[in-house]
Amino acid sequence: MKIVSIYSLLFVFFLSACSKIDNYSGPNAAIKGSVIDNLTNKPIQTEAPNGFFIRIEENHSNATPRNFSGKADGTFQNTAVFAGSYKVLPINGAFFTPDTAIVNVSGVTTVDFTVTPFLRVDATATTVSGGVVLKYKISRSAASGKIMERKAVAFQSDKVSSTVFNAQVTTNLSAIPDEDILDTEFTDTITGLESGKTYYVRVAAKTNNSNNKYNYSEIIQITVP
Amino acid sequence: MPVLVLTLALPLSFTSCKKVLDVQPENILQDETVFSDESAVNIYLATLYYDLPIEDFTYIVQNGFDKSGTCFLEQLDGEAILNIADDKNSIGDGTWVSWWNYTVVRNVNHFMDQIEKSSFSEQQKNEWMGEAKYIRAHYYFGMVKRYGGIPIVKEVQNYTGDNLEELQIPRNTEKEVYDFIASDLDEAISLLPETSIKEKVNKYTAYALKSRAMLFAGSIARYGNVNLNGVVGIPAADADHYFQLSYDAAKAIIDSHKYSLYNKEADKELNFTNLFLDPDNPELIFVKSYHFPEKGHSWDYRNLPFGQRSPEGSGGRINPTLELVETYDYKDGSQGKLKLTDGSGNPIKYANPLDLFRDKDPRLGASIIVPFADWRGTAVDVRAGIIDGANTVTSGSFDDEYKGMKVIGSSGIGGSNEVSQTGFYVRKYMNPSYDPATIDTWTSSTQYIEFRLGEILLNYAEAAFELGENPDAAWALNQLRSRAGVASLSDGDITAGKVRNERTVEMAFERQHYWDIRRWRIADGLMNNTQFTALMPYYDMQANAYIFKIAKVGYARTFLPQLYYERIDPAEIAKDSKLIQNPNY
Repeated sequence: MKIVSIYSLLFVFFLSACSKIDNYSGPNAAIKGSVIDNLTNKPIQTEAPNGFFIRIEENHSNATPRNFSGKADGTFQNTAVFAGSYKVLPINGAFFTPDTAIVNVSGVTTVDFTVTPFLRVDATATTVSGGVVLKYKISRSAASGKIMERKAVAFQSDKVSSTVFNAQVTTNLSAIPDEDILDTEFTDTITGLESGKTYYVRVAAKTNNSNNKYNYSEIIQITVP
Repeated sequence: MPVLVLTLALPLSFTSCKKVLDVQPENILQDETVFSDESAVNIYLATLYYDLPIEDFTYIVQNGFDKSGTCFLEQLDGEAILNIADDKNSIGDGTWVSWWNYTVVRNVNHFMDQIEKSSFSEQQKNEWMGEAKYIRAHYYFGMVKRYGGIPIVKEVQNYTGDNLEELQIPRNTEKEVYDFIASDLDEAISLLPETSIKEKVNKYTAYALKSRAMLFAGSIARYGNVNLNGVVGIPAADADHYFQLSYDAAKAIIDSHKYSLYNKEADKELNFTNLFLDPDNPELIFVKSYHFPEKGHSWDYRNLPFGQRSPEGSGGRINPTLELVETYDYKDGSQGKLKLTDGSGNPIKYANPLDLFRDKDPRLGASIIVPFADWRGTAVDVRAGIIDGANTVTSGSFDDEYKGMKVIGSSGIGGSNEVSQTGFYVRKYMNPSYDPATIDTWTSSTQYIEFRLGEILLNYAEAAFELGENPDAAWALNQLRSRAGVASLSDGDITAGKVRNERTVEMAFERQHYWDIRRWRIADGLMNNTQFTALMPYYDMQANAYIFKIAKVGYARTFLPQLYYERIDPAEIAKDSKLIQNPNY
């Protein structure tokens, strides 16, 4: 009994010496913004979660960079950031990487980036029985890699992308000169859609870029007759 | 009170401990003891061999090496899907095949260091050093094919308390890592003996790994993109250089005439089946042996056809896809599409269902159990249902009967939880001499072949094709095709597609295809919201014959482009801030 009590006393002693409550506050600042097309002044059209990432890194030489994913509409938001100075950069998207921004984050801080996308796609949609006809042009304001592929996709929610679709029409463009592609108005007909259902359609186009990313047209909502 | 005294004594004893801790523990062998005794060195070496990243029967996706489980590499690359409702809804997020292992690199570096210092004969030291160089190259190849460029560590690192900075090494470029592998293998080639037992490496094993690794480097240079300043990707201008290294290494093995293709049986299908089961086999260059009960594996337990599975359960886990089955040509060399319908689109009625596969490449029957093929003397009855006039009868249970006939057979499509998804089962490496009643996890002793002459010929053919030497490519492919019993190709037939198809069918389920579609950079096109296909055999009662339908099964797979490189575990980056993450993670 005596032995036990001595040990218990020792134990209590050690515990009290060790216990220090972590009373630092959690991350309470946020960073948000948009990645904006320099010609249209609208956020870029992309996909989520693989459209682009935001790299955020504390503004000192010994920091570990962390990435978070941007949204399909070209915006991004991270609501769990400690207040402080950061280097911020959108990366791995279908656009020329812009310059790093140094941002003082406190409260909710907004930072926008203006970028030049590899390609722009403007599309219009006309429904037909059991399908949809997409007419579109591919353009660009600065040349990067060869234009490799165009792809019209349809899906039953607005998550539609190059990998998420119910039906698609893909055309390999690798053998066609870029000048000809940029001069052409393309027409693709997506078939096999269910009548009476709502679909979201868009067109993707891809250059030969090291991250294999697509540029997109805006999403068009249709109801198939 | 004695306790209290002891407690007080403890802090005192800490201060005087220093000398005590310098005493060597008596239950752990010290380096001086190990590296002065030949048998102890061989035991150390055995551990280095054991840690080779060989993706054999016990390599399980998401679990790693030497594990039990049901998700195999074939289920990620379109060769097959998992049978249990194909319950994975993804083919990975960049962590499923990860293997970042600097522990084993340290072990082999330490081995080299100690052998160098030891007092064994020069000849003995050279042989061990050759094995160690091979092993280190194999470790690095296991990592570079996953992550791209990784830090090259050639020496044992020691932490002295204040040198953390110098131990943190940035990633080398992918090209530098492949060059390092080539140079280690060149040294291994000059040091290793001409022959060895199959479980140990010799000169030609080093050539074999070199031909495989350099083929990877060449393809990545030709088909990949350079990113992160070369940390991933290899400049396109270097493609020919690496293909030439691969070609030369394969040629050294072929010209040595030390190995020959397995050709013991007149029956081509039996011959190709036994190639993987017969340990007395002149084609084998390097194998991983198993011996139950000391060390077995579970290939048979996992993959027996349902009707003949072990009383312990499981079975039929890997279901080959119709896409893979149709990759096998016909014997006359014509394209391998199965003849399911006649000219006007009506299903062809087969009185003998095996006639659907008549005249296919004999490697099909040797690698895959097709519906109604033989397993241990019994036809594997795979039905999707029975057609009785206007009625089509299907069932969710292997036990249901219709007019005296089992609706889906004992191994068919649609039964219970454990369904056959595609109608096909694996035959390669399955050992028919095992009585199913004795099969359980870890009971199989079949050897796993890491290198065989067949792969060397395929490496040679692919490197030759990439270098524009089509006659050499045709020669090598025809060695394999004539052994298999398929019509030869002429020089003019050689295309990337032919070379790759031959590799796919010859080496199905040999754990290369997954890496092949990665290095060819075709995986994202192959699996873009893609479902694979099942063959559905129905018995037509009136016609007393079988018809075959097809159906899309399993989840739709998408291979995202970032999966060409694995994600580096953020915990590793936290330890070494000089590491940079791969793109898109």
